[in-house]
Amino acid sequence: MARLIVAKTGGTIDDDVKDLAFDSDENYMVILEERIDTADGSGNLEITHNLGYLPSFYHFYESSAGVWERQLESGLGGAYTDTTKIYIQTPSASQRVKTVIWGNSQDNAVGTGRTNATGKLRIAKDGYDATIDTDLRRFKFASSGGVFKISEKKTLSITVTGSGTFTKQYAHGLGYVPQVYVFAGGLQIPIFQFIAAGMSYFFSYTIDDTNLTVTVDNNGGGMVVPVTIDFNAQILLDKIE
Amino acid sequence: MAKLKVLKDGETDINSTDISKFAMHSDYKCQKVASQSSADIVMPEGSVTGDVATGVIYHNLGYIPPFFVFVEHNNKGYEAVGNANPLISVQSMQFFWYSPKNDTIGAVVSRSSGTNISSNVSVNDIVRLYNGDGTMPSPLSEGVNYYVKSIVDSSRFTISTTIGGSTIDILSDGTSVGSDIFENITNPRFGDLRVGFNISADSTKLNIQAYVAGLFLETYKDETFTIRAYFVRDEII
Repeated sequence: MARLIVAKTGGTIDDDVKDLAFDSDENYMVILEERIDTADGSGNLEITHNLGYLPSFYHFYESSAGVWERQLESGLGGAYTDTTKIYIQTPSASQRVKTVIWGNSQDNAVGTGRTNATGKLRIAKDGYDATIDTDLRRFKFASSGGVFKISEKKTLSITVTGSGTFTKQYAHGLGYVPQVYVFAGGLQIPIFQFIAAGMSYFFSYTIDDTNLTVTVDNNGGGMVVPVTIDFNAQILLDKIE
Repeated sequence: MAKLKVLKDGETDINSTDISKFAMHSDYKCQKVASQSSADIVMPEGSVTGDVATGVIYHNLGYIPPFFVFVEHNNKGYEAVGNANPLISVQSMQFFWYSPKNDTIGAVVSRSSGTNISSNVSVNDIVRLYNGDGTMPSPLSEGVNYYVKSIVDSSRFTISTTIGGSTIDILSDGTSVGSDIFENITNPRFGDLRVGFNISADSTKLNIQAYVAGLFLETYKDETFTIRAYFVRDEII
């Protein structure tokens, strides 16, 4: 089967697949839609997608003007999708929310029936025909929404020494608010969060047009200290806004 | 050196310096997916606060990758907040309820304490009632669908066996042993018993730990969660 390999500028097509710009032998999270909405005034947002399956999705909310946040754990509700809508609870009543909806279903099933694979350059998954198929779940790539591009990876380590708030900041230097995915590593297992007992801790991060800031809020001595937590970030070139 | 740039639909400036306008651009690595897999985790009936159920999903990449995780429960796909770990919550939609022994025997199911019931049930919602190891008030049965017929006040509602059907008259108290709870099937977003998840990756696998986070409650039935993970090809460390 034909294969499209795109080396990153300065590299070659023989580079490790991680270092290539694109390789059609790989799979991708194919962007169906990126949007910004405002919660309904009571801290809820419903986004109708009518896909008929559970799509992969991701969201950020604007915690203050130009500052976008993710909490690495949720309170009530969080965010979920059913086969017709995405439901998101926000910390404040009328916050703006950036949502990414991928064509990929959460279970990676290759379905049919949708006509949402568009764009001049489309690459179907093995066994499917890019000139005939129309359901984005059958595609590795569609230039209508494309895929995310990686800026860099960065590890921010925070040492928690007691109760209180601890932060670490990194200047990403992009000049706009990028999408960033942060993963906490080196966690104590098991971890319990007894909110009702006042014992809890929260991880969150914010992104603005200058910095990525990671925060550990160790409320009520919920963590066994001292402990150092590594927050590993994948910083994208793609914008929140 | 030749470059390959592919604009997104609607974009026309191939020389743009705004990378968000491009579906692909050979100056930059696309975020690739190495694999996708899933695992079921069951939180068994009778689990109490702090009880843990664990599972793993292997990626075998030899390094720690970024990942996108979703938790499916009751046909809803929850975003594993932060895409990483630590304490994302999935509602298990339970509330305390009391049999009418704490009220006037009659046509109401009443809530013991806490959140205003009118905020958590609506007329025609499907609810199921459970009574721990005790005896259900007559003529109610454990775990079957009832419909909210009316909301009496902030702590009480009436039920029927069909939507808009006759109000069920509750004839006896039942006995309370363990958790008396009702489950709002229609709208499970607000619940007292929560199952949280710690999700973190190492160089070979995703480690998932589910735990009961609500206080003073126990699961009244097995709860199955399907964890679905996409592993990104690129290293995170």
